Order: sequence, then C-alpha cells, then structure tokens
Amino acid sequence: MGNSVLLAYIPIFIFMAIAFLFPIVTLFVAKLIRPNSGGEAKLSPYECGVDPDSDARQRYAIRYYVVAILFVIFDVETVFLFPWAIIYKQLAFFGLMEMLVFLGILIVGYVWIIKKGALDWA
Amino acid sequence: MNLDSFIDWILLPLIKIGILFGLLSLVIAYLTLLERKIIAFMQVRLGPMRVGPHGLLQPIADGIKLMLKEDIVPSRADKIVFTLAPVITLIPAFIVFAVIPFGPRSIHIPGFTIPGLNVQVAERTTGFFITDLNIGLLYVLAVSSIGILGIILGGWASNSKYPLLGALRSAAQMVSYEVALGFSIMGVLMMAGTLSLVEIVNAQKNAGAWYVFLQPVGFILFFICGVAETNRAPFDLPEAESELVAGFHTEYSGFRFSLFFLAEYAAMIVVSSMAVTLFWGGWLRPFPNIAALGFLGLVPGFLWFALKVLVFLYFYLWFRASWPRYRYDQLMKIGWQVLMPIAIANVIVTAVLVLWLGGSR
Amino acid sequence: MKVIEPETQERENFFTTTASSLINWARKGSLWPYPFGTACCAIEFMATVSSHYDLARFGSEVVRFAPKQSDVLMVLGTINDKMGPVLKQIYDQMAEPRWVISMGACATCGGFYRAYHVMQGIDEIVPVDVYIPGCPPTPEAVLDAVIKLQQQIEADTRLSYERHPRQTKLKTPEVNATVHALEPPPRALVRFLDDNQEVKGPIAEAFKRRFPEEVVSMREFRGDLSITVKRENIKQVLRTLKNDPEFDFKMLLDVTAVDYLSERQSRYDVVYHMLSLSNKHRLRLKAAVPADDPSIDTAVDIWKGADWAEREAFDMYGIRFKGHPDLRRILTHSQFEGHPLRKDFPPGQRTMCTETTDLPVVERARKYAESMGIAHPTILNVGPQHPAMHGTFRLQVAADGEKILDADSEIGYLHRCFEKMSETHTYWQVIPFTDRLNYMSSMMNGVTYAMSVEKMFGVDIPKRAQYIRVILSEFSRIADHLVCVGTNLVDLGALSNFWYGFRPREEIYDLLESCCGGRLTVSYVRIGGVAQDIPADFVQRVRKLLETIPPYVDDIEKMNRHNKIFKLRSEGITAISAEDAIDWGFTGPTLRACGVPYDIRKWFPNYDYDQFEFDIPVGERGDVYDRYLVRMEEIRQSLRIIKQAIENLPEGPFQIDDRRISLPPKKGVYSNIEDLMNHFELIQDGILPPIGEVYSYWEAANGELGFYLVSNGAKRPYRLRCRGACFYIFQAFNHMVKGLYMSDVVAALGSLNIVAGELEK
Repeated sequence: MGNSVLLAYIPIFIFMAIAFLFPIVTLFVAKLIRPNSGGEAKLSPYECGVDPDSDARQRYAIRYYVVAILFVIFDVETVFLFPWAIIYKQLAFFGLMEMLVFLGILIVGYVWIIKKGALDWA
Repeated sequence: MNLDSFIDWILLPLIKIGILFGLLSLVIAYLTLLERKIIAFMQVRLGPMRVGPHGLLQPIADGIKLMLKEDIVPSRADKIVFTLAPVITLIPAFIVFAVIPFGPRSIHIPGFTIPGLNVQVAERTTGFFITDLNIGLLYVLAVSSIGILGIILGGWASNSKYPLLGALRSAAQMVSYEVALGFSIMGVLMMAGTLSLVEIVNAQKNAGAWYVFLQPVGFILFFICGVAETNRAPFDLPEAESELVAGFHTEYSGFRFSLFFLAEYAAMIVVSSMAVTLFWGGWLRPFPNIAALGFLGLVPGFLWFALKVLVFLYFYLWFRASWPRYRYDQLMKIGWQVLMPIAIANVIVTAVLVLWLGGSR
Repeated sequence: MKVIEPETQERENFFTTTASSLINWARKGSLWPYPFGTACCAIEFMATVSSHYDLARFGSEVVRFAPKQSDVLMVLGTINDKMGPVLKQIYDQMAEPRWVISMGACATCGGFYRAYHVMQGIDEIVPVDVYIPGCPPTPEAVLDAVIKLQQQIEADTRLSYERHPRQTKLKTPEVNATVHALEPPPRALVRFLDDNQEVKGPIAEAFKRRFPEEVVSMREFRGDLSITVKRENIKQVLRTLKNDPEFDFKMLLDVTAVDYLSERQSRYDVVYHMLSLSNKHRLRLKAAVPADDPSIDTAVDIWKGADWAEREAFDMYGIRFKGHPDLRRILTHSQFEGHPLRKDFPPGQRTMCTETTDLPVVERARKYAESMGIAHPTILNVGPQHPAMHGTFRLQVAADGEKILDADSEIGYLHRCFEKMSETHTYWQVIPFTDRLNYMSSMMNGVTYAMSVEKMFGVDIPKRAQYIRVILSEFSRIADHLVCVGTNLVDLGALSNFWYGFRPREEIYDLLESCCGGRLTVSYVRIGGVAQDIPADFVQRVRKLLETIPPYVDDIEKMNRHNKIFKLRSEGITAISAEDAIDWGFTGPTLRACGVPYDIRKWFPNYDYDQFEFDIPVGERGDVYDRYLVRMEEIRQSLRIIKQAIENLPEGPFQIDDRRISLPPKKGVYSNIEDLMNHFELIQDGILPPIGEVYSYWEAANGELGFYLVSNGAKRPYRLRCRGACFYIFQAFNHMVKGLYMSDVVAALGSLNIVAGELEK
C-alpha cells in the first residue's frame, strides 16, 4: 500500500514532462518558419511609444514586502490547520478547543496588524 | 516493476494524459471563443463569424497565427527568466488536472492475454482521473500557486515598467487571496475528513447533500478568491488593459504570450473544477440519494461534471462583461479585511456545528 | 498600392503552397489590431467595433495595445510631426508579420490640414498596406479595408517571409505645403479697433473710474465690451478685475493674442476674455505688445487657468509672459522653429521632430530625491499611446509603486493647426474644420462658429433654422455624453457599457445622416442657417428616437448607478471644489458636478432656450461619480428639450434671406442677372463680413465653447480663436492626480471628457 502512495505520483511526473515538452517543441518547430526581423526598437521595452529613460527595476514600495511577510505567516497557519481539519471528527471537543486557542492567537495577531495599519495601503 | 504496476501507473495514465491534454487544449481554445461569443451576445453583437461557420475555427486560426508570430526577447530583459516564465506558468496550470476527478472510478477494463507473449493481464477498474493522491487538495493548492510565480517572473524579467507593475500587482493579489482561499475550504475538509478529491466527492454522496448547501459561505468565499487568484474581472488588475496596457505580458509576443493566455484559461477551468468538486458534488448528479431521480444517472458522471464547470465558466464571463474592476488598494482591503475575517469565522462556526450535530448523532 | 512580388528563391512545391495557404488563412482570420487612434477616425473605428458593425465578426476585435502582440497597426486619424517619433516607435516594436492600415484622409495624406504641424501622410514614416479614403471613413469602409488586407494576405505565397525592406525613417518634411496666399495688411481693421468710443454700462463706467490712466481705448461692438489697456500695469488691472466685487470676474475664459503685423506700433495684442458668474458680465481686455519686446506680465498667479493659455500664446506668437513658472511650447513639438500664428509665418512650414522629450517632472523628481537623500522615484510615461489616454495625451509621472507623487501632462499630439487653417480658408471653408474640433459632437462646433460670423454681421437666423440647430445639437450632446460615459466605464473595466452607449449613438448618426449625409463630422451648419432643409420624415424620426434612447440610457444606469465597485472607484476621486474649478476655468458638466449651475443655455439663452423647460443638474463634490450623474441627467434633460422643440418646430425658411450671406435661389440665378452675379460673387469670394471683433459662445457638450473672431472685411477670418472647454479642464489634470493611484488617473481622465481635437485644435 505504501508503495502505491508513492507510485501515484508517477503519472504527475509524466504529465509534467509532457506539459514541459509541449511549449518547447512548439516553439522549436515554429522557429523554422516564423519570421524574425529584430531591430533595436523592437528589442527595447514598450512605454507608450516613448523611449524609456530609465531602467524599470528600481526600488519598490515597502508595502509589497510587508504584505509578502504577512502572507507567509498566515499561509503557514492555514497549512497547520489542514491536518487538524482532516482528523477533526476524531479529535472532537479537544480539537475544537485546541483550534480555538490556535486561531485565538492568530486573531490577536491579525487585529494587531490592522491596528498597526500594516494593511492600510494608502 | 511488474506488468500490472506498469499498466496501472504508467500506461493507463499515459493514455489518459494524452486524452486529457488534447481535450484540455481544445477546451481552452474553445473557451476563448466561448468568451468572445458570450460577451458579444451580452453586448448585442455577433462575435467571430467569418473564420469557419459561426467563427468555429477562430481559435485554430488564432493559435496558428500566434505560433508563427515573431518571438521577441527584449535586449534588456533577463533572457533566461524571460523565456522560462511562460513555461513556468503553463506547467502547473496543466498538471493540476492530474488529480481532479472528472468522474467516478467506473471504467472497467476486462482482463486479456497478450497473444504471442502469453502474458495474462488482469481485469481492472480505473477512474475518470489520472491519479488519486491522498493529499489531492493540498497538491492542487500548492501547484496552482506556482503558476503565479511565472507571472511575477515574466513581469520582472521584462525589465519594462508596465509589466513590472503588473507583476507586483499580481504578487500582492495572489498572496492576499491565498490565505482566505485556504480558510474557505477548511469547512469542507472538516466534514469530509480527507484531502483526496475523489473521497471528498464520495463524502458528499454519503452526506446526501452537496457541500454547497452545508457550506454556502465557504463556497462564496472560495469562488471570490478563485476569481481573484486567476486574475479575472473584477480582479483583473495585473493585466488591466486600460491602466497597464497589457500588464505583465506587455513585452511578450506570439507564442509565449499565448502560453500565458493558455495558463490563465486553464486556471479558470481549475477553479471552476475545484468549486464543483469541493462544493457542487463533482460528478454526482443532482440529489444523488433520491432514487426517484435515478433517470438523471443515465447521464454519465463526467458530463454532469462538465456541465457544472461550464456554469462557473459562464459566471466568469458574466463578471467580465458587467463589472468594473477594483482599484489596487481596495482589492487588498477586501482580501485582508473582509474575506479573511469571514473565512476564519466560517471555520469556527463550522467546527462548532460539526461537533454539535455530529455529537448528537 | 503596393504590389507584392513573389520571392523567386522560394521553391513552390506542394508542401509550401499548402502550408502557406493554411498559414495565410490563419493570419488573415486573426488580425489583431493596434488602434493607433488620435482623432475623429478613432471614433468611427469605435463605431466599427460597436454593435451595428461589429468588427469581431472578422476575428479582429482583439484590440491589443501592446505592439508586440498586435498584427495590424491601424492608424486612425491625423498624425502630426510631434506624434511622428511615437508612431515610428510603435511600428518598429510590432512583431512580424505586421501590416498597416491608414484610416482616413489625414493619415493617408494629411487631409485638408496642409499645415505647419501635420504630417502629410503616414507613409512619410511607415509603410502602408491599405489606405482608407474618407474623412472620416464610415465603418463600412473600415470593414472593407480589413477584407482588402485579408485578400492581400491570402495572395501572399511566401511561407516565411521577411516583408519588403520596410525601413522606417523620420523624413525631413517639405516646406510650404500650403497654397494659400498670405493676407494683405489689416489697415482698416487696426483703425477700427484703435477707435475710442464712449461706452455706457456698469463695467465700462466702473473701469473708467478705477483705471482712468490705464485705458487706451474702449469700444462696444455687437454687445461685446472690449477695453484696451496699457501693458505695464496689466497685473494690477487683472487682479482688481478678479477680486473687486464690482467686477468679480472670477473666471478667466481665455487668453490669446492677435498679430497686426507692422500696421501698428505695437504689433501684438494680448487678449483676455473673462466672465463674472455673480453679475453675468463678460469682458474682453486687450493689451498691446510691441514686436521688439513681446512680453507682458503673467496672470497665472491671479487665475490658475491662465497657465496653459499663456503657454499657447507663447508657442503661437512668441509672446513672453514674465513670471510664468513654466513657459514652454505646448502645442508644437520641442524642436519646432518659429511661432506659427504670426502672420508672416508660412502656413505650411514644417519642422522635423525626431524625439520625445522629458517633461519637467523628471527634473523635479530628481531634485527632490537628491535633496531628501532618497532613491529616484520611478518615472513612467503614461501615453501618448496608452489605451486610457485616448491616444494623444501624455502624462509623465513620478511614482512610488502605484502612487503618483508628481506628474506633468503634455499635449499637442493632435495639434493640427485649426487656427492657422481658418486664416487661410474662407468663412464657409472653415465649417468642416470646426467639425473636427470636438468630433464627438461636431454639430455644436459648427453652430457656435456660425453664430460668431452671424454675430459679426449682426443678423438673426430664421426660427426654423434655430430649432433645427437646437434639436440636432441636443442630440449631439447626448451622443457626446454617451461616448464619454461609455469610454469612462470601459477604462474602469466595465466593458459592456461602451456597446450600450454606442447603440443610441448609432441611431443619432442615422438621424444626422438623413439630414446632411454625414455621420460624425456633419458640416450641416451654414452661416445664416443650415445647409438644406430637414427631410420630410424628420419629425417622425425624432419622435421615434425620443422613445428609443431612454431604455438604452436606463440600461447603463441600472448597471452602474448603484454598483458598489463603480462607486468605490469613482466617489471622491479627483473631487474639486467649486472655487478651484472656477479658478481653473472649468465649464460644462465638469463645473456643474462641483455644484456651480453655470449653463449658457440658462444664463445667456439664445435660440428660444429661455422658453424650453429643462433643469440643470448639479453635483456636490465634483468627483468622478458626480460627473457621471450629471452627464446621465443631462442626457435626459436634452431629451426633454428636444421633445419641446420638435413639438414647436416652426415652418419657414432654413436659411437667412440675406444676399450678403446666403446663396440666391437657383431659380433667380437662372433667370436674372442680379442673382447670377450675386451667386458668382458669393461662390468666388465667399461672404465678406464687416470689420470687427466678436466673441461668441455656446454650451457645448464639454462646456463653454467660444470663438473669438476678428474680421478685416476680407473673405477669410483675420483671426479665429477657438476657446475649447477641455483645454482649461485638462490643464488642471496633472495637479488633480497627485497622490492618487494609477487606476484613478484612468478613471479621472475618462470622466473629464477630454477631446483631443478641441483641446489641441
């Protein structure tokens, strides 16, 4: 049985290989007939018909990082909840209490974040 | 590896993958036509009519054209990442389908002997799915969030301002709705007690009701987050045409651009399929436990599944034709400050109810 | 036409011909357009996409604004020298295979703009596959062009082709493309204008009392009060005029200049038009400026609205406004040589433009970043070729993420020299040019222009002509608002409203077409009336329209009025106070959304507007949502006006019976010498208005449209200045968007209804 659990992943790898080959092969075949004229302007980035005056990769607003960090925190929390949810029926009352404690901590953190204004975009 | 294992885990999946891959490409292609047609009808016009009867060959023409369009890799771009990004987006969008059950385990293959080799092949039963992982749901969530990486990388690698803005929007949007999405399905998990998608559908059969009736809030949250995760209207900010020209794929041309498109439409189908599987009873006919409606069972399961998926795809198009899009900060606010509290509350309420009702049984 | 030559080296065998026909089939069935829309043609292209014609049938509705994803560059409208480098860049960035469709006379050959800033056909820069004739071409012609291009693609037998050596280049333009002679010196005109009169009236008397030293001359002509003052003290005069309650000219309508050549000691006149909203007075103030030192004090610190108008006067006449914070060229490109509206500037003398320059915001952002010791903010060009910028505006922003820290806007990408062209064409010939100012509602431009010439003559047109003008203008207003609301909502992401808005618009087109044969640019108005009488079924058609339009409007209302997302996106965005709006010179729905009920139809009624019953909707906050509400309500009010006008449509002549203005009846021409000569003279010389200067104004769809006309008695206007409503609205735009998000910029611009033709003339 344990064997078949792992074997169940084989089709996924096959699928992955096919999904990978599909664009590669198509791109390669199409290369034989598709036109290619290039040119300096064509290889330059689009900015509404104006030559961009600076590199696009500059500083980003700090909020993106804040949100990313918050995401990591909360997403890990949900991952913890998955196994709990599956055996919830067995855990019964103990499970409920445990989850309430867990979520309680989460909610406290969440409220704190909102109070701090970390989620206010403006 | 013996022959049976080979057939079970390589040969049969390979055949199914072949069929699924072909079908999926076709469905995605025709989903674009469906979109153009349906939105056209909503806007009192006809939509594509000239390429094939009633425009039926339009997706084929578009596909060939895009394939043979010049492939531009901007000189200032990060070339390796730029070329890989669409592929990174596409692969997850496809391989998610490996675990989605389109129908029950009901395909019977009679045993036979391969003539000449004198090898006995045993009788076996297989299902309308490629593989049934015991952590199917987790797999779907994990793999489908990889797709967004391709979008972020593509936008970043272009080294152009509009794509970069699109990529940043996409990243922030993805992370904001992923959490609520995770919470929204927790109720289903509690009731089904399994992560296998096949088992979740079976659990709905046993429960006698599709989970949407037990988890209406969860379903609505799931679908909203799903629409947001697929970057579709009214959450289509990463490619908001009137704001960011073409968003993250502004610098992409031809086939690479179409890969992003394929992935987006595949993701729409994934979200619809997941909504159907988790909440709308998967391949089950309506009222699966009412014998009086047994004639509905004459329609094969995968057709019920397809029909339900189509309904959700229609919703997608309907949204696009009717609603304006949110602004960036509003979108974030909805994700974090509206959907998330509701989702957490839903988890707690469900937990209490499951315990209460389950305990009294 | 280009002939496609088959490449000989490619072997034509069975495989290649089969493959190439398959490929060509795919390519022709999937022509995704890049709509390089600039002017009137773009509106007809929008009609082609809309429900009645539906470009989607050909698989071509997938409009891609990213050049790398589009197949056919559709150049829709006039391309001028300033736009040249942009067009070249966009074409160069398109992926092969690519095609170009040139829509309309302007893109094809410059159209009737044989002028100093207009490219005489885009094939100066890019190769063209299909030319569409017409000005603008009808949607049928656009569909025909798509089919023609499909046929060309089908006939191409090469499998993989690098197309013809299609190099783009910026060509040195030919000098002096125009044929019109320059006007003779305005001797009599100068004498007329310098003549000092004794003028009665509260403003004139108060002015004489307050500034006895400053007044050079004063005159009233056709009810327009015009005061000439010395330029040295102009600032104080202007300040008093604005702030003193006796004058209270809170709104500066226009600043412009006139060139009198060497006929006068001081060659130029700087002309200010202003309006007092409290006591409903209008005033024209002039100050003479000599040629050797063409400078005058700026009025920017008095009215914010003087900003762009002064820049325009500088650009066109080279008059320096001392103390103006940012006196740059505005309409012509930065490499332009000379000041084109000077009378000695040849109308067709072009200057090549090779680059698009940075706006001051870049420098400001750099300085700010350096002084604060922080990283340089991202500089982003929004436009000129950006889907939400209507193809012709450019906004350069310094952004922190999505937030706009600072911005500058640039216009002139559709400057097609209307004012210079008016000086080189006869009074009748100017009418088609006016159609192309605000091409969304061209009828109203024609009416306002005709009003100015009629005012010069001092005549009134027959009642029937007035009612025809009113009815069709109100329909034009509806059509204009529908496009504005529809495109604004599309910019917000609500797609379908555009199609819902274009259906009634299409029916209004039908009505206009039945009157004069034109859809978009109608040229129906004539000086002294209209071109011909309305068709026999006009009244029935109008009655039917009155029934069919409201459901369409209701559809849009149902989808948006209470839509949560729409309200989130529009409420509070670019809200502007009434004081600011007036100071900037806002008029029309944008001003009324701020709560100021200024509507010329009520305040200075003509054409029986005082007898029609209608309300002026006003908003409260002046934000995007209020502008939407005001426009939607104005559509309903316009329908009310039309209903009353059509019920009371008088019988009678549609043209004034004045042999100086209108042609004699054909019967007379064929039977008596007087009418024959009269006809000959009018056709040869056109009409000859008396010497004078007038300012006529009307409530156009965008606000106050004004024409300042100076006549020296010759057959062409000596000076025709157009006061476009959106010129004054748009100059506030970059100030309004500071601190907002990228998405808000899009929402705000759509709600202001900036029409490039009127903005840039």
